[in-house]
Amino acid sequence: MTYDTTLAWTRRGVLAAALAAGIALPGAAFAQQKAVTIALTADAVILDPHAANELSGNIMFYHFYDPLVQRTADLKFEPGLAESWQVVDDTTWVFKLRKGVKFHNGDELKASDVVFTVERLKKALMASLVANIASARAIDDYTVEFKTPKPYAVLHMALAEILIVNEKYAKSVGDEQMGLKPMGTGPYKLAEWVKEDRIALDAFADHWRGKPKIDKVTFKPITNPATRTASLLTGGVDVIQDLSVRDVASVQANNNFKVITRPSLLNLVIAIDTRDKSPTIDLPVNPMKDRRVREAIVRSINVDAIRTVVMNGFATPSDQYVPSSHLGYVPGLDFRKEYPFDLEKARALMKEAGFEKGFTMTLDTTNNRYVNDGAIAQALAGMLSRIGITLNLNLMPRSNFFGYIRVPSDKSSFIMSGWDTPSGDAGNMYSVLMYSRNKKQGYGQANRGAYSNAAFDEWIDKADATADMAKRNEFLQEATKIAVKDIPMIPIHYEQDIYAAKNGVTVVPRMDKFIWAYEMDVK
Amino acid sequence: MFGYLIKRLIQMIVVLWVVSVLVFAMMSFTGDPTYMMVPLDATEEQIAQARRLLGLDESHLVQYWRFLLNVLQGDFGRSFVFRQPALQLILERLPATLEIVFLAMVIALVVAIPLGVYAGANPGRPLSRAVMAGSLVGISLPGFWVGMVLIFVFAVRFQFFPSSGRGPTTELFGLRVSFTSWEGFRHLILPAITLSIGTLAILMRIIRAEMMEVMKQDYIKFARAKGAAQKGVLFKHGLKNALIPLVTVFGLMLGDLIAFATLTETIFAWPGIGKLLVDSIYRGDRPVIVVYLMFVAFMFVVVNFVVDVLYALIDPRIKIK
Amino acid sequence: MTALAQRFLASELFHNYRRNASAIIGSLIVLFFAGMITIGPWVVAQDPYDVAQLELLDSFKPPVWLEGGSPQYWLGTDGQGRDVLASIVYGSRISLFIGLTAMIGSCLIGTTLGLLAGFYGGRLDSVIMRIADIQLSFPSVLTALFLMSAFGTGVEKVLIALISVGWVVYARTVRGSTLRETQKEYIQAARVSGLPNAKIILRHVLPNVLTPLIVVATIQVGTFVLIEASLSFLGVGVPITKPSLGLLIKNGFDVLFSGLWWISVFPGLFIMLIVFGINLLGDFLRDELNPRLK
Repeated sequence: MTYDTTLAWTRRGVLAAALAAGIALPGAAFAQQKAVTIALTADAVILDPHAANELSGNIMFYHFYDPLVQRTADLKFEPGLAESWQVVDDTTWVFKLRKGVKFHNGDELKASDVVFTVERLKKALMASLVANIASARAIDDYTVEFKTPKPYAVLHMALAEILIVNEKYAKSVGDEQMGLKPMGTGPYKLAEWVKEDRIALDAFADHWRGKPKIDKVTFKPITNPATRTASLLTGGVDVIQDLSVRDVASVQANNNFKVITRPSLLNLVIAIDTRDKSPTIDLPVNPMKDRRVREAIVRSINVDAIRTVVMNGFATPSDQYVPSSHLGYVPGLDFRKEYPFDLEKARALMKEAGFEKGFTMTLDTTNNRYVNDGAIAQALAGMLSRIGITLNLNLMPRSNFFGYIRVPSDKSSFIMSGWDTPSGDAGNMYSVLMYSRNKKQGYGQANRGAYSNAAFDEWIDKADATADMAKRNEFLQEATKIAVKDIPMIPIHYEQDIYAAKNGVTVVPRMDKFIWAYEMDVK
Repeated sequence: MFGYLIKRLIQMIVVLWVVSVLVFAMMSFTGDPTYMMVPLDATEEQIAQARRLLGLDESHLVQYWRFLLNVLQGDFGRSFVFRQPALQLILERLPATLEIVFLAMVIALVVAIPLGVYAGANPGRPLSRAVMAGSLVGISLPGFWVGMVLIFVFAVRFQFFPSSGRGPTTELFGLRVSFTSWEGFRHLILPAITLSIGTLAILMRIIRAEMMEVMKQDYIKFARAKGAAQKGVLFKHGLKNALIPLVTVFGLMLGDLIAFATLTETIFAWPGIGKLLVDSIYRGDRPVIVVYLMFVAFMFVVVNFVVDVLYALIDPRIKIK
Repeated sequence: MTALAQRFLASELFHNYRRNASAIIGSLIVLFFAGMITIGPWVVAQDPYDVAQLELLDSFKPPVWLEGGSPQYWLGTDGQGRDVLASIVYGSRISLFIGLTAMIGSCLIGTTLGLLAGFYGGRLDSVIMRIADIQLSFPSVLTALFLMSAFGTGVEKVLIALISVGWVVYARTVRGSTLRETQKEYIQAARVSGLPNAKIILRHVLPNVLTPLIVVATIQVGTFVLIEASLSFLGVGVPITKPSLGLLIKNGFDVLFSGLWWISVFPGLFIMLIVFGINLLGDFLRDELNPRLK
């Protein structure tokens, strides 16, 4: 069904192009067209890169727009719209723009567009993206100077998430149209967006990296996982995002298709309340203030069973709070080796801490926000019951969840949620999630367990005070060691991204999950 | 007539106003949608800024007042998620919903009228009993479950029909419709059948009851005594009088279909207003929910008004007051 | 008590009941469910709410008569190794508990308001009836869906939502009969004689307006079971830790496309069965008690 649609659409597009050019060579043109249809789990809601932060939208943004610094599929950082940069002093960076970069409307990219982008973002919903930029200034048409409020060694990495818009266009069409008709320097132009049905893209021939290999890309939102699989198998689409784990075996068995997996960056973590008194625990003192109780909880959780049974094997137990690709990761340190699953030891620790009889508390988490979150919560309840902890489950849709658990988290004791750090730097996660609350502006704003350790904070302060990446890495590693010892949070696992594609389609799974047609090809 | 119109209009405005008040009051119970929009590491300042951008920074009362003022100028607010006029989002998706609703209505009428008339005219016959039993089963079925069974049998097992989504659309009088092509129509069939089940069952019972009532009337008895052929009596006199009351249930029928379209559209991933409502509920997108409910209320009031007028036209005994 | 029973057995209602096949089938179905929700939990092997009893390795087993089925799980298992039959037994309890409780709540509130509106008339009457009118301009599923979207999931919240949409029909029916009843001379006389209003309402009006409610109440239980199932299917009904029949269907929906039909099909069949039984009884009662509505 979808295949027909795509084909019909492609033909019409070609025909229109041929008519416009005044030539009648539809057959020949058609033979050269490369087209691919990709099924996503959801439609994008808005195509303005400064107004939303959800996966389907993010995937679209990087087709239409480019950042100054580009993030590769493996989370390496390389020049994008900026061809080079240098750190002038602790808080000043200068970026040289590529010359001759064209927007879809033919305008050339200028430094003023970059400055405008930063200004626009400061007033936008996604203002947090520019939180580490004090100001941007155009030195000449191709040079931009950024000032950071404090030394910030990873500014270039943060810039990978800032997509540059065209000043003139944005000002002339207004915010509403920016959400509907994106226009950037990216490798693809928007051809048509039929909401909840398809987003069709055309290759942008004048793209600065060179013309994309695939001429037409169509994204189709197909919410139901089994329907997605069926669409792939029946030829309706060429690539699907999030292949259901139940369908992996059957797709793999089919010679015409391939399954591609990649561990994602999303770490499922449980925040433990460390306050004196915990909201859902009916005891005069919060047992989890005692590190031994926290360790007992960790040891009672069989992460491997969750992986094999609940996740059908498609998860990677997390060894630390951030993946090995990140600044701050300590090679060789493994949460699972420090605290292996051991009920005997866990019970002994509970006894030692004086909570042999256990206690009752509530786990707050989402339902259908993370892969199998509800099932994981139920599994956790079963596991904790073995050491006497009765875990009540409070599963919420995400529309309620994030408001419910937000700091000061005064209704929660035990919160499971995902944390995703595409910036490639543990500092972001640590400063937001584990730095003491209310100590410093912009720190600890999501520290849901109210963890507070002066030594930990100090390492973060040091890391944030240096403009030297190697040093930053070292300081963050120290912080990691403290956190693994203190257990303010329990890392469970990284979800695994699973794609499936028709043979002959090259798919590059990206660590940040942002499917990018520019990296793909069709045989 | 004019007085009636004015009365109806005032009634409608009151209903819409009450709906808007209720929706605003209820939605203030739900969590602050801002937290869903901002990144998890947003600082208080950034959250405050987002709240300002979404128009959520003021008290609920002020928000409501501002909403009312805007409505008077024809602006029904913007979706938090899409950042577009909520009314436009609904109007964009309306044709898809109307498509399945109308097809479901046609299916329901085409099946229910002959069966209902037959069962009413011939009570006690085995087929009539079967019709009644069938209609009772139809009322007892969860409609969404029927949809799932249809998907499983006709889309997954035998692959006669597509399992979900809407087919290719074409522009017709400025509306995007999908029933014009065979491929598009194929996508319509299962959702429309699913949606029609409940209405069909209820219609069948109403028509049967009306028909039984009519058959007791003197003129039918008289015609029968005169020796008019059974069929002629049924269709000439009985049917016409049995169907008039159907006009009155049209409004209720439409209401039910629109309401159950939320479920049907969710199952079939049908991009109509029902799915938009359900998605908006998940996303906490209050402006869309408010406008959806006001829009549906408006539609009901208009339809019921038209029904009243039609009824008076068809049946001269009824006076509009 | 026995006298009452004898009177009932001799009554016309019972006489007709014995001769009405569909009424008997209906009550058998209802009885079956009554048995299932009272003693069912002791019959089925597993408590699907007790996480410790679940064997994750037994997940997605088909029904016993299919290849790969296990005699331990007659109707198969879901993705967490939950016995589908046991889930249905426990789910029916939740569904019927909600249906019955919400019916009782609606009946109490609706009847009270209807009595007050009909008896006192005036402004109270018009306010109550206006609210009822506005509410009736929306299909109840939509109203309940909206209320749940504001409340969030929870059994007690489903109850509130159902009662909010369910009281209207009682209020209207009772108000109508009350109006008729209060016109009667004996009530007028009682009012004039200075008998307290409360006494008049309870002693004289109430008993005379109750009969039509029996039919409404019976059918409403079925309607509520269906609405609750719809809400839970949309994810705004009961929480996943307390799965009703509707939520069981929802849980099986995603895997239905992969051919795992039993997880969602069986709970749906049970919903249909119970609502069908209730409707059969309701139909019979309507024909007997309200011949006008026949």
